[in-house]
Amino acid sequence: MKKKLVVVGIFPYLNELLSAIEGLKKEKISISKVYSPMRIEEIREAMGETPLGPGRFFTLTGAILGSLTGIFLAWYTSIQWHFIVGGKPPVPVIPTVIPAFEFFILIAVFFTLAGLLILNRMPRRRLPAHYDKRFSQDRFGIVVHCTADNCEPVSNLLESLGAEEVRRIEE
Amino acid sequence: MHDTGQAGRPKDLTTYAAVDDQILGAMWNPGGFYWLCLAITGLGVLIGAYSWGFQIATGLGAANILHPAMWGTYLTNFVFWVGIAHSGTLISAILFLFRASWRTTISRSSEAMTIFAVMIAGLFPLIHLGRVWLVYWILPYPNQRNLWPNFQSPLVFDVVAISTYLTVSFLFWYTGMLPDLATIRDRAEGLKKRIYGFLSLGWQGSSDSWRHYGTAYLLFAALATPLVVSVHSVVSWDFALGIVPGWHSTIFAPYFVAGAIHSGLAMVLILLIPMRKIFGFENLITIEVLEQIAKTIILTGLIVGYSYVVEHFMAWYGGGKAEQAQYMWRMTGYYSWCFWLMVICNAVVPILLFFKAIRTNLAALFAIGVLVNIGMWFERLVIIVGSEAHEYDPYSWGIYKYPSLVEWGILIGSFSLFFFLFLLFAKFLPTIAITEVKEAIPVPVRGK
Repeated sequence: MKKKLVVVGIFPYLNELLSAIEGLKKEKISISKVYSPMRIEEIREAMGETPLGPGRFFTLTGAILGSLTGIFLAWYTSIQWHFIVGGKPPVPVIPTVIPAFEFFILIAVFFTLAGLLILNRMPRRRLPAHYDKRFSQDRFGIVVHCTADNCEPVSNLLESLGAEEVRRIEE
Repeated sequence: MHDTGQAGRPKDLTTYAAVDDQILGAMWNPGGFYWLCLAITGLGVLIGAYSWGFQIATGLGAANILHPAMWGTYLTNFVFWVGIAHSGTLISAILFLFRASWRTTISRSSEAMTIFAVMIAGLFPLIHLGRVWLVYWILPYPNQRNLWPNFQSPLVFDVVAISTYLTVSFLFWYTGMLPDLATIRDRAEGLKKRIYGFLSLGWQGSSDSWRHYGTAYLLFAALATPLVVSVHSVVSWDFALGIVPGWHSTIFAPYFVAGAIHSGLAMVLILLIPMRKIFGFENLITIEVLEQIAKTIILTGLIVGYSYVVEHFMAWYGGGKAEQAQYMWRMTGYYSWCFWLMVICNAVVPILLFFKAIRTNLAALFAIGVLVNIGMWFERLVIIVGSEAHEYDPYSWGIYKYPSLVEWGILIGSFSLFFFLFLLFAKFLPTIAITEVKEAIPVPVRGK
């Protein structure tokens, strides 16, 4: 498989990272990833991402399936029991609410977790070559995929925009 | 985003590296007192395990539970531990949705407390079962006699609710910890790096990852919030759906939920006050944070006290003779000392927290935490054992006099296991959410 060229800019300050994102956008250079040690709204806004990801649709699917599972389980097991007690119908409605509610929560949570893992392509055994362990501690990072021709200008641009370190990596 | 209020703001921490150093440093080198506590609680766990083993070998006769008070301290412990579990999700989910900043430094420990408490609570129905190896009968699986668990029974509701709560709490806790596990992975070497690398599932912290993480965390919180209210409501229906005087009450669900949060918050104080000292977290778990917990305890204490009054009022006003007799006996009968202890510890003692001098005094807070938990344990005993002991027919009245040595051993074992697990958690996992603390300090900006 052909290796890709990547430029990574490492920033110690948020304001410089944000202006670097703006600068790259102005130059119409596509940003592959922006790393930060924690969730920062300003980065999300600068990247033009919506506040909520598509993970919520996983949750909704799980919630619907969970409710149906709870109702089905309670009703099916009641139907299997053929004794009519006290003249009551074998399929109860009100007590079904509890298993339906609990399964609604349980399966919705499973789907939420599945959504998080799928959307983030997790679990993964190896981190990308451009990943720097300082990204989880106290540094911000911008990753730009480039060609042999534009790697140099992108590196220079990142340096001029405040990157304390710029690395070129093949991955 | 970065304005998290004063209560949740860590003191003397200005850089992200300092946050990592302090929280992870405490984890790597917990000090001699930690190991002493671990050894003592480990011994307690062994006592509990031996007691349970002895009961399995000799039968349930090893416990002092006899008709009519068949549930004894085992179910008292069960409800007590489920209650303890509640404040963790309150702090991590409900306070998250309300954007209460003071939860930042205590959410992780409270969530861990929740998981350990539910695990221990789940042991008690098994212990009380006697023939524990038959527990799978309660699970809904096809079998040749077509016997399914009865989904109309509150006991089956309970199994579903507690197992859902344990699973959801664990996943919420673990998901919240993924970025912190990655932080440890990136600082560790050798085997540690591999273990934390495996546990962090390859978390990277890109803007897209954070967005999906934020969405999932918000939804987890939104799902856990109704769950926390439902679980102790369902536990209360174990009693309220029975016709036993003292149990058959419509206020049980909110009364139990408030009581659960009351005891859980008190347990948070019991855990956090020594923890902040042992690990040197005084600048993170500040007095202001503990004060917020104390203020919430005032609220839950008032709700619990109000419930005690309403229960007795309804028994009198309702006119049912058995109900009236039950509540009169509760105040004046064999378990009256337990009843008055419960009233004083749960409803009277928390009133002291109205005074700021007490709310900000660590020794007083710790003592109140202990007293509230003693009171809440006795509340469970009064409700469960006291009501069973004094039902409708005087012929069937009876007393559960005192726990046997085996029951004491199991009680000691359960508390020891809880603290033992918490100590292990504090050694191997970050007790304070590193990324959330980073969110609470000013972001690094050049020139400021």
